[in-house]
Amino acid sequence: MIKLKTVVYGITYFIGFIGFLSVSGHVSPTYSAIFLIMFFAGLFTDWKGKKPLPRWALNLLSLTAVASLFFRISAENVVLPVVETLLLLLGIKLLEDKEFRDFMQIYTISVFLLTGSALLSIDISFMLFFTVMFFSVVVAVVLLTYYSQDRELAVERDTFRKIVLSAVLIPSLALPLTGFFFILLPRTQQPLFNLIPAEKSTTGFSDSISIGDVSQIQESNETALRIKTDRKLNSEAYIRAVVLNFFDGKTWKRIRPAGREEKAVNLKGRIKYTVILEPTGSRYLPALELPLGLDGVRHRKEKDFVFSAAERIYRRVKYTAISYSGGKPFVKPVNLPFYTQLPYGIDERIVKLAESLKGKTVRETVNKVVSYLKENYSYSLQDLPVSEDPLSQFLFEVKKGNCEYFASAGAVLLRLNGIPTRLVAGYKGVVYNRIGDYYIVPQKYAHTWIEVNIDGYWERYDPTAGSPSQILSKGEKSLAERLRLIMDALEYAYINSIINFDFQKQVKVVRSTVSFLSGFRSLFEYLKFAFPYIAIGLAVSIGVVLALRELTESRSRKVLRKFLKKLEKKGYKKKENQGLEEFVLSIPDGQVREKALRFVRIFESYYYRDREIDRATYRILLGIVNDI
Amino acid sequence: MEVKHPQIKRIIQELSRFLQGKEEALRLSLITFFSRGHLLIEDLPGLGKTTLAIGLARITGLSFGRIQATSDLLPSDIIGVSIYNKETGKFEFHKGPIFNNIVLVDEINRATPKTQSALLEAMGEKQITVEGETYKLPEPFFVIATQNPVEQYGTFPLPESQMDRFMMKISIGYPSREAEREILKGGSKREELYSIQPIMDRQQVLKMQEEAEKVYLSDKVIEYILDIAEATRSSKYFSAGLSIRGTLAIAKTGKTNAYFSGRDYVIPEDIKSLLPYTVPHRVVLHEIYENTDHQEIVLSVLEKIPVPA
Repeated sequence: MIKLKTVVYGITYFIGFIGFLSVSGHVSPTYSAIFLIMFFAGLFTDWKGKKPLPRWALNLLSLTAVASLFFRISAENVVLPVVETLLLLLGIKLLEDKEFRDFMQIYTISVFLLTGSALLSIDISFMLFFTVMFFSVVVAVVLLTYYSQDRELAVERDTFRKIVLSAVLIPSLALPLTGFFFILLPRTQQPLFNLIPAEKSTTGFSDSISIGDVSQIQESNETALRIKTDRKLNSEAYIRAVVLNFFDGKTWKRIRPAGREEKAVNLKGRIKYTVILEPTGSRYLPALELPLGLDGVRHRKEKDFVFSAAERIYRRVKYTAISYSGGKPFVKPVNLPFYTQLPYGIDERIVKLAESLKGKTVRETVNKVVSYLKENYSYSLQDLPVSEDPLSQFLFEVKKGNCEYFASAGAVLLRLNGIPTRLVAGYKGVVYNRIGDYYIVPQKYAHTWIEVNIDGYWERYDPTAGSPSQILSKGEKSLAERLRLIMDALEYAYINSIINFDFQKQVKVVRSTVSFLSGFRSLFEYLKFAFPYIAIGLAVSIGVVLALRELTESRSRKVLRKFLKKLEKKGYKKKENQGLEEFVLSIPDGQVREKALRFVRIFESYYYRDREIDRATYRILLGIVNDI
Repeated sequence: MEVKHPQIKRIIQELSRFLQGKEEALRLSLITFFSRGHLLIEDLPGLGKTTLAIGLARITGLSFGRIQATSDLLPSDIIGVSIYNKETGKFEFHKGPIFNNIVLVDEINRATPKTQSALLEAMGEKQITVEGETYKLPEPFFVIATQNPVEQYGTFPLPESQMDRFMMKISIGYPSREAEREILKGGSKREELYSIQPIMDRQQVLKMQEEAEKVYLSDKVIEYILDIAEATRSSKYFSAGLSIRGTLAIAKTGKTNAYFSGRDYVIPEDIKSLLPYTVPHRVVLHEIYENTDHQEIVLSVLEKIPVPA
């Protein structure tokens, strides 16, 4: 006869030891020593059948171990502290008086340790540990099921062999498949869990725009920025990112604006708002026209109302800004040579065209140029002119292009007429996200327009035939689009709650907390940082527990639990020594009693007949519970 | 618990005309009867024990025998004797009063231990062996024994091992004031009792006993019964806990109780509500607690046992 208890305990300690062995090369000797002491203490106390340490003390110890994890973890070093903590938890578990779940926990932690070892380094020994662990855990779980039914169960040698053999069959079949998938599935070079936010691909505006550049952005569905304001925004609002003032024939560039300081005039339509900008890789901080002030990011305001951050933007930033929708930059006298600069060797045809569009006044010329462009050219993102002289090709051959072609054509034609003109790049149009109550500016709304100086006032003209937002927003109400809005709202909520704390910074805070624990401030900072994580962790674990309960609990237990909970809410709590009917009949409220009795009668007819409740009855019972 | 079984309900209705306000005692007696057990009534004289026994016999259409136990009662007075028949030249067995379906043994504690054990043996085996011949007792066989708790002089109290043979021990108790008023107004109804028309016959009784036996007893409820047994066996108050016969009795009466309530499965309440009648007479208190209320202690121990639900 073989006593299952002995086998289960033996195999459990074996699994725990394998878990330890797999990581023993990586963890610090202190942890190894602590674990080994606990391991042998557990083995000894189990052997003697005495468990001197009470469960609550061990639980407290486990909590301390987990809490200490917070102080040791860092962005560069995540896995090792976790592994070490797991090792401590395993030791504590071994010390405990073991119930079914404790055995399962020991197996789980051991498997986690093995997984952790794979994250630290992977070599052939992993395969060995993995195989041994796999077989022993499966066998252990099968034996454990028998053991949990009867603690003192002893089986014949033959029966025992049969049980073990059938248990071994499972991993024997699974392992070859595992091997197959191991080879088949692509293995990544990159770490799977990258906690540090990676740099986003940069799609923003740089100091220069080669004609046709924006078209790449304009096909991107990604969000460029989000605007939160309590005002209603015009869906055609212009967002200013950067002013380009130098043209070399193919590329518009930004050079340090010369001339006097520009003032903002016609200050109407004040609006204050918050911008969450996705990483762009450039310095410019987009803001609604016409931005006057900005706060939240270290920046410099330039003469032409361009706000450039002190550092290039490689991660999300959040800032507030104030704009005046009616505002115009004003400067007198304007730096004429600077804003009428043109490269040498402009195509003769362009010069002739510019002459033909000259009006009597500056304003007339501007209107003529803008309407000429709007009427004779069409908007397109495909088959854009690309050659040595893209502008001539656009004006005289292809006759279609995106906003950059229109704007630069307009600017060149006006500059040829001696009118100071500059290019403004930014976005046109916003999408209101009803779910999150904020505005999204997608990358595809990127736009370019011109500013013309008339009598000292910089006035906005948009020579583009049709705006990108109008052209591109046809499919807006489709299901996919709506889904995208929901996803974006979720992301927005996520960003909003943690944007000020990127992981590196948080780890720094924790470190400083550890070194200056006396400092109240840093402790507070730490709590401020830790709270969302603890909350998320708690929520997740509660969710998992509930889901597990939901999944594993039988229908009758589930519905009974709900029933008793409902009555408890009403103030009636069933005593342990009360039968259901007895309890229900003791309810003074007649209506509740009747309903509860109806539930109990149906429930009992299944429960005490040892029958599982079918789906239909379950629904009926749930209905009664809800009705109570 | 409410009785829903139509025939049982009728029996109780009919008999409560003669035993005003004693429906509970009637119900318990019927549970014992349909569980094929025997009943011990511990009560003062003149509270309706005989009425109960006769009424039960009449209404089920079964034969009735009565034994008045005295100290000179001999086993043969109960079982019967073999008498020499001159004509045939053989001994002939003359059956005693125990060869009836329902037997009332009045004041069983007055009989000598020898007679008591002869009776109790017959109850347990449901057959009698006299001079090498075995005689089966009739089916159904139901003994109602009564015991007078007050008079102690010249009595032989039943030892615990003998008490165990009774499925339930109940007492009828004094009637309520209203009930007694009704009794006084109506006068004795003994004559009327003998004229009750049976509402079922032997076959039906046997069939109902069988049906009660078939009531489903869930593992959960079995666990509950085992918990009860465990509690009595490990309690510091008792020197002897429930016997196997005791747990069987709990299960059987629970089934019949469920059957009476119109269910074909046992719920814990079926068991729980009968515990005051099925357990106390089976457990033996330690000497130091002997002077305390027996039933009280037993119930205080059983009260704490969690009910499966």
